[in-house]
Amino acid sequence: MIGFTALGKRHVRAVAGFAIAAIIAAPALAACGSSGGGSSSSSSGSSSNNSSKYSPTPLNLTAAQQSAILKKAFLTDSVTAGSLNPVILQGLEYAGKTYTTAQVNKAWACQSQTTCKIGSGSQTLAYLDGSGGNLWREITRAAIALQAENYPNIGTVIYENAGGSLQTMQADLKTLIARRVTAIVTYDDFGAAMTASFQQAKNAGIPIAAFGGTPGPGAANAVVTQVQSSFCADGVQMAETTDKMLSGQGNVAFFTGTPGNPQGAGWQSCAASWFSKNAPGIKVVDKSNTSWSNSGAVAATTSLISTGKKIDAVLYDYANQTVNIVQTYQHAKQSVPDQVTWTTDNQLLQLFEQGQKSSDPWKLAGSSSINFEGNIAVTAVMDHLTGKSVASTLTFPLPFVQAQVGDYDASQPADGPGPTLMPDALLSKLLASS
Amino acid sequence: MTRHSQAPQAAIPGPATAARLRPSWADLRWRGAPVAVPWAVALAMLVVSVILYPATVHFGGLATLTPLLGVLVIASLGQSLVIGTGGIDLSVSSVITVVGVVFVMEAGPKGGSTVVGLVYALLIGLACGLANGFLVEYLRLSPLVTTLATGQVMAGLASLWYGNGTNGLTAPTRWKNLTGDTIAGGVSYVLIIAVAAAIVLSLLLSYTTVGRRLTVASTSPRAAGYQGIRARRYRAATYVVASVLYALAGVLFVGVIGTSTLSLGDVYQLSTIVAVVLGGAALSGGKLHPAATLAGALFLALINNDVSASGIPSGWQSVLQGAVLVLAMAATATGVLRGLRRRRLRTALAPPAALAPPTPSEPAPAGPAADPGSPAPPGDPEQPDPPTAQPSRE
Repeated sequence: MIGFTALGKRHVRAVAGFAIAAIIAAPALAACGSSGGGSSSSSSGSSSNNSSKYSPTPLNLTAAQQSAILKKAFLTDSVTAGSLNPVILQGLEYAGKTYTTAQVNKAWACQSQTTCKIGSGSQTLAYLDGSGGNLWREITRAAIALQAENYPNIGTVIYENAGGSLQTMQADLKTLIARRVTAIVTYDDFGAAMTASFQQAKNAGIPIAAFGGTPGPGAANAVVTQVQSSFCADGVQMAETTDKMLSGQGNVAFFTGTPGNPQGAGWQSCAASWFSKNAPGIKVVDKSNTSWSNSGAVAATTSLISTGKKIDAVLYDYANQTVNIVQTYQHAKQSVPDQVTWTTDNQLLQLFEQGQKSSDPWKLAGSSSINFEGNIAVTAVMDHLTGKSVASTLTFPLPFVQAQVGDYDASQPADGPGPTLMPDALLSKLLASS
Repeated sequence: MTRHSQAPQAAIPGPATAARLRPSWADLRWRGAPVAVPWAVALAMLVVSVILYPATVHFGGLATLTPLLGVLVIASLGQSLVIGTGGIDLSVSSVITVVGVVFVMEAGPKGGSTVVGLVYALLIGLACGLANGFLVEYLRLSPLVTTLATGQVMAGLASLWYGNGTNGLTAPTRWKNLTGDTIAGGVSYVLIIAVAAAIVLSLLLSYTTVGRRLTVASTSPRAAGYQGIRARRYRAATYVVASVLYALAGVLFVGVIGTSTLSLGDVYQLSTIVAVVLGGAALSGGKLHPAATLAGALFLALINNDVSASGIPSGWQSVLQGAVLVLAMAATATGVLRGLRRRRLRTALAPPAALAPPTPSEPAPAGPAADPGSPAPPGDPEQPDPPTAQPSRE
């Protein structure tokens, strides 16, 4: 009886404790809900209230300004505004618009903070990076923070870097869900493995837009959109560029990172098909994997040289490691094959310029740095919150352009990724710090 | 006459025992066998490679393969020292990575000093080796966990420094030229440095007091203790020398690659162990044969290159490395068993005088103590040389 009484008292105390906690927590939770704004209602709503709440400050660019941005983004004037999805166009415009010094300084300050206040708004934008740290990712991070300043209600930008660990990325995402951020943009280095975690965020009412590294078609319901180029179209573009460089005759080698990765498999199959149909004189004589590492690129090139095959062009989807391919051929004192590669790299451009002065010049073609992917993702996820319809995949073109003498910029670091839409003032700070 | 053939003569075997002691075709008692067999296998692999891909031994093939082989040899020599003590060093990849980052950080910028970069790199290797040696040998922590932990620390430091400006730098041009340069025929200077390191290590181990003491301390700490050798100090020193060799491998590798990355040393985590085991070393420890490690590294580099050149998916390289490691360990284990059987027989047949421990004045402890067939110290005649048995150390 005494025991029962004691138990009863404990129960009473526990109930009272819960009641007090609930009274304290309710307003806080309510506040969180309103500040997060990324609730399920917001993602499905399309009211004018939401529209104004999640919209950026309006932007009125002239046609000339718009064309200049597109040319800088794609390194060619063949891509027109009319050919682009409006969300992509808007993302590019906000990435390439003029920013004030104060805005630049604010974005720069965010580079050294994982949680950064950019204004007084109650909304929070998070950038979840699977494997940050290199210059490309740092530029993309700064571009996202800068663009967030266009949204008056975004007051905080959070950056989480998983450092190449899937478990860390999943844990980081759980943290962002717990913090009730408004929206997330992510570079998913782990592909479909993140889908379940993204679904958890969606269930919690937090929309996610993936760019660059994406979870794939299986995650169509888990994320708002996936921003990337079309791998198959990229392969065709690479093949066309190679055909021009080799004048329709020669042996080519395909390099990519890990065996069977969707990106490599996508462009390689389409490039091979294009060669067989349109340039039968070009033969694919080797396919190598580099594991996306510099040492892997050296080892793969070494093996290729050991085969004794004459290679006229190497097609690879990572400019940074194309440097290793070129240098390995130079060490072997063999003619450097022409190179067709995704993005650009300042050291590669330097090697290219040195090669033009030699008795055995080689050609180089690359694409733009595509740092604007993150900007398109920000536009997409915020548009989604306003209730606008956003396509489940946003595919931008990736033209390949042949390098010219003079493209190398001695003032940039070795892994400088080439022209970006970022304001020069911010880019200079980033490059100086790298 | 070899040491192996002397021991049975000390006893008077009966007819049955004599039959059991008769050399069989598989009983490689030749003193040079521990080095000759790995070299025979490696050279056979070289022949296969040349038949499959003749360009392997042309200038281009050699000029690109030999730098990578040289780095692998240097790192494997370090690993072999640790494995010789019955330990294992899992900090190898992280040391190579952090050294690469620090070297580029110091030597890469305009006005940076290559010498300072080299000094810093070697100091980091030294520090990591001292930590490993102290923790494993003096605090008697597990070498596996300890080196994994120190490797984690090194990886963390590399990450911090890499993100703080090193990611945009490259190795100095002169350093890249040096590590990429070759002698006539295409053999890289990096490989020449590696071969020189193997020769120096071999001479050190075979012909100097320090080397012989290191060998006996590695193979039988208890026997070393009876001879007045500070086995713990020698065993700890292997971790230090190993880490310095990793550091050397790291700075050379940065020159070959041209830049540092956070995954710079990853490939050497398993491959150094495989190379050492392919060289005939037992993971439980034993006498060191740097020349055999060199052969193991050559075999591994060739097979990896051939698999890659064949166009087989790179996943097969890992499958092949793992399979080769298992086969090599199986071969080594079989040899160890043969050795144990012989030792047991000799112990049973040897006269009491043969069991006497070497006196401290005897200058060559490396022979009997390093030999798996050597007698155990008195007081514990059944005790096998247990380099990995922690309680028996010193």
